[in-house]
Amino acid sequence: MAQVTVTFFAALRHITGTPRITLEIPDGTTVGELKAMLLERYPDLAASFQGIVTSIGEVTAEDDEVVPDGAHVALFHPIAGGSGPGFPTITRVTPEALRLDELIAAITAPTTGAVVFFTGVVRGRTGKTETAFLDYEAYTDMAEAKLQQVAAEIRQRWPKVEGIVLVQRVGRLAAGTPTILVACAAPHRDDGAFEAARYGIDRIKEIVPVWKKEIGPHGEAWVHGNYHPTVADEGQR
Amino acid sequence: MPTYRVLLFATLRDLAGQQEVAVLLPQEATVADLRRALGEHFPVLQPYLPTAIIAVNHAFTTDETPLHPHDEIAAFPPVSGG
Repeated sequence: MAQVTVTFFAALRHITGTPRITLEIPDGTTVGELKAMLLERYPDLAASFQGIVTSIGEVTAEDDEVVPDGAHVALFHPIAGGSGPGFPTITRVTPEALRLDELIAAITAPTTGAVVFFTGVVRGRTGKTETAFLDYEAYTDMAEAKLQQVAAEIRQRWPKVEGIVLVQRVGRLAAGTPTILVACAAPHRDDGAFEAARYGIDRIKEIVPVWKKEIGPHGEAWVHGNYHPTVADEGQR
Repeated sequence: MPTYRVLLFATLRDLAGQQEVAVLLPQEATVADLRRALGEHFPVLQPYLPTAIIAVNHAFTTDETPLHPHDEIAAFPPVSGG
């Protein structure tokens, strides 16, 4: 028998409920046979097996290759629901709570070695001003289009960036609640991930149509931004 | 004169009391014409219109951008998300 570890990436990880398993397989088992065993164990994977890529170590493996003892096998989608060049781009405006660890897992590819993420939080006190809630409102269709634009701008500027998350939460959010997640994955931390995430949040605050209203003990007030986009802000700059 | 439907957001929506307003504009109207007409129809919006952003079909505009009655037009204050 051979012992192998199998690592699941992105959406596959949500289906299996685990990032990694260790398996005992008969000697001589091929990649194709290993995939069949995984399907038996996780039938829900079937819907996601289309276009899946298998690697052993750091090399892509074909179905007829034998899986050696001690192999590190990885299963992933080269394009996971995104528009990027082979890496996932997750952009969304949502009233649902941000699941930071799931979103980060979803952009972690086999080649990813660094993920830089920023999350904004509802600040409960600013000087002497108390904020109980922020009411976030979006022009959802345009906001999602503009989040896609910000992701494209990041890819143009930092070509080594892999997966990208740009997710804005909306609705009534209490002090201390995460409001946004900007995350950029890259092979190494020096591949532009810090700069890309910084650019992402700054750019969202310029062009993505979302507004917030402060609700405090003494009333409510819309927060106004100060950036005036022009036609030059369209498409990639 | 054709009718243009305009979506309002945030401060502008609250002040107008409506999410969507209809504005009559001449043929070949531009964003500048819309900005002026919104102020005439809804004087309460007047202080906010000079800095309001007018988007047409999800794109930013200039005052010269032409409008068509079937465009998706929106007016909103500078954004404050994040």
